[in-house]
Amino acid sequence: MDHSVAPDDAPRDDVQTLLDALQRGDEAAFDQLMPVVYDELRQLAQSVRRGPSMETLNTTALVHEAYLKLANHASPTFEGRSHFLGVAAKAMRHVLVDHARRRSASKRGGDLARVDLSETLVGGADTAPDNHVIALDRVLDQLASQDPRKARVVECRFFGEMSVDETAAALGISRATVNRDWQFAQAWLLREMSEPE
Amino acid sequence: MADDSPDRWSRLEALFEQALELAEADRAAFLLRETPDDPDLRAEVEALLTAQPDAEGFFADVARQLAPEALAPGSRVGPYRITGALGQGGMGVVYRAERADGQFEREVALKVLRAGDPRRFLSERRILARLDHPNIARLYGGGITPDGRPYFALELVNGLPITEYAARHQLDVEARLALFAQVCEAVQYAHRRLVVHRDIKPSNVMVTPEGTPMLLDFGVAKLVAETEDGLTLTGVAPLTPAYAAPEQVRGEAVTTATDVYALGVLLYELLTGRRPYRLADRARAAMERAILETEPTRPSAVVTEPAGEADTTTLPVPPPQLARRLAGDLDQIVLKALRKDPGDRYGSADALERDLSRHLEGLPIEARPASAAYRLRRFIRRHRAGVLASALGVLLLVGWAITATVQNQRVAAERDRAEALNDVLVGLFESPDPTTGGDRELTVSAFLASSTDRLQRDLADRPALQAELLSVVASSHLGLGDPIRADSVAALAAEAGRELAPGTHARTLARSWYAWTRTYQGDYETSEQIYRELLTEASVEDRPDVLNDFGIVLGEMGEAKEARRHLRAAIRQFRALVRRDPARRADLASALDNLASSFEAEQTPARLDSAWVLQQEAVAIKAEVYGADHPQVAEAMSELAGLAATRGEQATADSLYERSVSTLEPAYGSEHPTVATVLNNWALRRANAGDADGAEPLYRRALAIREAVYGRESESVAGTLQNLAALLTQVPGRETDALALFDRAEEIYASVMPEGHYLRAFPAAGRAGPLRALGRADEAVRDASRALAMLTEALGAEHGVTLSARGILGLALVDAGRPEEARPHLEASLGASLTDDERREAEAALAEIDA
Repeated sequence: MDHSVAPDDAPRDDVQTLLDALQRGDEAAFDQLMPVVYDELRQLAQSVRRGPSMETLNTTALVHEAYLKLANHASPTFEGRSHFLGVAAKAMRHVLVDHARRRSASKRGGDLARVDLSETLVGGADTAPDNHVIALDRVLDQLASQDPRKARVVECRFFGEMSVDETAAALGISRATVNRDWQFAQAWLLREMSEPE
Repeated sequence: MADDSPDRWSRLEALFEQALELAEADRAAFLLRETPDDPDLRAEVEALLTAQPDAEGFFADVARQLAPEALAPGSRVGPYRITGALGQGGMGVVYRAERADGQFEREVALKVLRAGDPRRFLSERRILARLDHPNIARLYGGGITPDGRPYFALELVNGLPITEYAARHQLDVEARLALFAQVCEAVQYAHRRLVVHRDIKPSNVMVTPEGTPMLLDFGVAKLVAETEDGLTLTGVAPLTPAYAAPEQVRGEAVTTATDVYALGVLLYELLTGRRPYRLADRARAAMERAILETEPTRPSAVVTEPAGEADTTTLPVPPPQLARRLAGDLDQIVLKALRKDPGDRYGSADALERDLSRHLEGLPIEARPASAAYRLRRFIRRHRAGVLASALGVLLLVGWAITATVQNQRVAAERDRAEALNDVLVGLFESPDPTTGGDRELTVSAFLASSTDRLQRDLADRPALQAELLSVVASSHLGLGDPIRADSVAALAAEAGRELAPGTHARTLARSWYAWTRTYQGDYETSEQIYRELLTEASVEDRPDVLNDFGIVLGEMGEAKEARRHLRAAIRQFRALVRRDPARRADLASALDNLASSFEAEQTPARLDSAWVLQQEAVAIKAEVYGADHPQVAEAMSELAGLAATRGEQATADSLYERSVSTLEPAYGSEHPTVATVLNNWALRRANAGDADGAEPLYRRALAIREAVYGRESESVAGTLQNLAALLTQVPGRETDALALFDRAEEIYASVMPEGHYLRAFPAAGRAGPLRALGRADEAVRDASRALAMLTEALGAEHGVTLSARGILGLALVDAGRPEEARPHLEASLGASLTDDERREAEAALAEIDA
C-alpha cells in the first residue's frame, strides 16, 4: 500500500538562525539563506502569476510577505530586516528574471490559452517588461565582473526596491557611496543595454 | 571597451561624476581638457552622460521606507492625496483623501491596512469593485502602498448611523422598516455576487441627509481578515463583538447567514433601542457567552422593561404602544433572524425582507410553522414511488456535482437513501414559491437550502448518511456557482463526518468537500490542514481522491512541485484501484488531466511531451467511460488541442478543437459559456499561428455566445471584442472594422469597469494602430496619449504596459511628423515587451530620427 505521507514543512527555524548569523556578519549565512528566500519568493511570485495575466509582481509586497513568512516569530529589528532585504534583493533578481524568461518563452510558444485571455493590449501579446529584466540581468553580470559592489547596489535598489538607507545598511557602505554607485550604474547599464549585442 | 582595467574603470567613474556636477554646456570642454589623448575614454564618458537623464527615469526609484505609522496630509497613495485622518480602526487607519491628479473632483475615504497579503487582496478587490448599487458605498479602487500595505478608496458618505438617524428624525415603525428593507436589498445584491459583509452594524449603515441608507465597508472585513492572516491569529474573530453571530464567536465559517444574523441585531436595535443581549458587565467573554447561550428577549417584551441605559426617547412610539406593535409578527421575524444555528435563520436577506413586507401587507409571515408542509409530507408518503422519480429528476438538473458524488455513495443502503431523498424532496415543497418565477436555478437553489435544514434535523442520528447527503447538497451548490452556500453546507457535512470513525468513507468524503470549498473562500490554511489529516486517515479507496484534490489545491497555492508529487501518487493509486474496480477509471482520467495541466504550465519541450501523453490517455479513458460524445470527453479534448498548438502542431490542434466544439454544442446547447471559452482559445491559438482568417469567425462565434450569456454589456464581451479588434488590426484593409470594434469595447468597459481601471485604456491604445494604417496620424496621437495617461494613472509610469503604450504613442508621433517628441517615448518603450514587428518599427523609427 502506498503510504503517501504529507510533504515536509520547510525548516523555518533555520531561517531565523541564519538571519541571526547574517546579522553577526557571517557571510556564509548569506549563501545558505539565498535558496530558502528564493524558494519562498518564487512560490509567492508564482501564485501571483496564476492570477489575471495583467497582474505583475509587486516586489515590495512580495519581499514583505516573504519576510513575514520566513521570520514570522522574530522581533523585526531594523538590522535583521536590512540583512534580510539584502538577501531578498538578490533572490528577487532571480525570481524576476526567471519569471520574465518563462513568460517570454511562453510568448514564443504561443501558449496563452487555458484561461480566457481577454486582457491583451495590441496584437494579443502579453505585455510585461520581460525584456528589460532579461537584458538587465545580462548586463548586470558584466557589471558585477567589473565592479561587484555596484552590481549589489543595483540588486538592492532595483530588484529589491530598497531605499538608499536600506541599501547602505544591507551592504555596509555609506549612503553617499550608494548614491554614487547607483547613479553611475544606471547610466552604465542603460548604455550597455541599448548597445546591440 | 578596449580596456577594462581597474584604473581605467575608476577614471571613468570619476570623470562621469565630475562632469555631472557641471552645467551641460561646460561638460564637453571639461572632458576634452581631462582626456586630451584618450578619445575612447572621452566617448565612453559622453555616452554615459547621454544615458544618465533617461536612466533616472528608467530605473525609477521605487524603494521606500517601511511602514510609516501614519500618512501625513499631502502624502500620495496611488492616485490619491491624503487630506486628513478620519479615524483609526482595528484594521488600520482611515484617511480623507482626494485625487492627486485633479482628474475628478471627488473626496474618498482611504483605508490603509496595517499589513497584508496583497495577492488575496487584489483578487478580492476586483470582485468588490463590481458592487454597483445605490445603497452600497462604492469601492473606487485600491492597491498596494509603496511599502506593501493594501489600501482601498471608498465612497465617502456623509450621514448618520441608521439608529441615530431614526432616533433624530423620530421615525415611526413603518418608516424604520422601510429604511431597513433598503438595507436588506443592498445586502441581498451583494450576496448574489458572493460578497458577504461580515460586519454589519449601525456605524456601517449610514443614512444620508436625503434619507438614503448606505452600506459601508462591504466585504472589507473579509479582506482584512484574509489579508492579515500573516500577522495575526484573529483572522476570523468578529470585529465588533456586540454584533457578532454565534458562528463568528466560535471562529467558524462565515456565510450569508452571518449577515442575516447581523441584520437581525440591527433590526432589534432599530425597533427597541437596545441590543438583543443584556449584560451585567461588558467583558468580551461575557458578551460571547451571551451570544452563544442566551436566548434574546422578545422585542415586544424588552421595550416595557425598565429602561436602564436605553434611551426611550429614541423609540418610534411610547413603550406600551410599541410593545403591542411588535408583539406577534415582528417578534417572530426578529427572532428568526437571530437564531443561533445559521440554518434556522432566514435563508437570505431577501427572505427576511420579504417576510417584513408580508407583515406590512397583512399577509401571513414565513417565520411561523407552516402546516401545509405537513400535509404535503403525508401526500408524499402515500405516493412514494412516483415522487421519488421526480426527485431524482430534480437532482439531475444540477449536473456533474451530483454524478461525481453519487458514484461515491456506496456505503448507505439503498432503502436508506430512498427515504432520505424522499425527506429531502419535502423540502422542495416547503421552499418559498417553488413553482413560480420560472427560474429553474433559483428553484433548485431554494430546494437545496431547505433540504439542508431537513437533512440536519431528520438525519441527526445517522451521521454517515447525513454527511454524505449534505456533501451532495454542497457539491450541488458549487455546481450552481454558489461557493458561499456550498461552503456553509460542506461545513455542516464535515461536522457530521467528524462524529464518524477516522477512515470512514462518509467522513473522508464530507471533510474533503469542506477542504475544497474552503479554497473558494481563500482559506488555504484550513484546506491544507484537513487534507493532511485525511491523507493519514483515509482508506485505500479514498486516499487517491484526497491526493488528487490536494494536488490541485497545492497547484493553486503555487506549490507546483508538491502538486505534481501528489498527483503522481494519486495516479499510481488509482491505477491499482482500477484493476479491482473499473468504475474508478473516470477518477484516473481526471487525475491524468490534472497532472498534464501542471506539466503544461512548465513549458519545456520534455514537460510538454509528458503532458501530451497524459492528456491523450485521459481523453481515451473518458471516451471509454462516458462514451465519445460526452462533454467530459470534449473538454478534455480541447485541452489536448491546446497542447498540440503549444507543441506547434496547429493542424492537429484545429481538428481536435473542431471535434471538441462539435461535441459540446449538442450537449450543452450552442449558447454555453464553455463552448465560448473553447472557441476563444481556439481563435487565440490560430491568431498566434498567424492565421487571422481562421481566427476571426471563431472569435465571432464566441462573441455571439457571450453576448447571449453575459449580456451585450459585459466585461467578457468587451474582452472578446478587444481581442478580435487586435486581430483585425493586423489584416490589411480591415482597419475600419477594427476601429469600430475598439469603439464598442471602449463603450462597454466604460460602463462595466470602475473608473481608473487599466482595461479602460486598452481600446484607445489599440485604435492607434488602425488609425496610423489609415493615415490618420493626429487621431492616433490623440488616442495613444489618452491611453498613456490612463495607464500611467492606473499602473504607474514604469509598468510594462505603460511603456508599450509609450511605444505606440512614439510611432504615432513619428507618423504625425513630430519626431523629436517621439524619441523619448520610443526609447522608453524599447525595453518593454513589444511584438517583434513593433520593436523593429520602433527601432527603425528611432534610426530615422537620428539620421
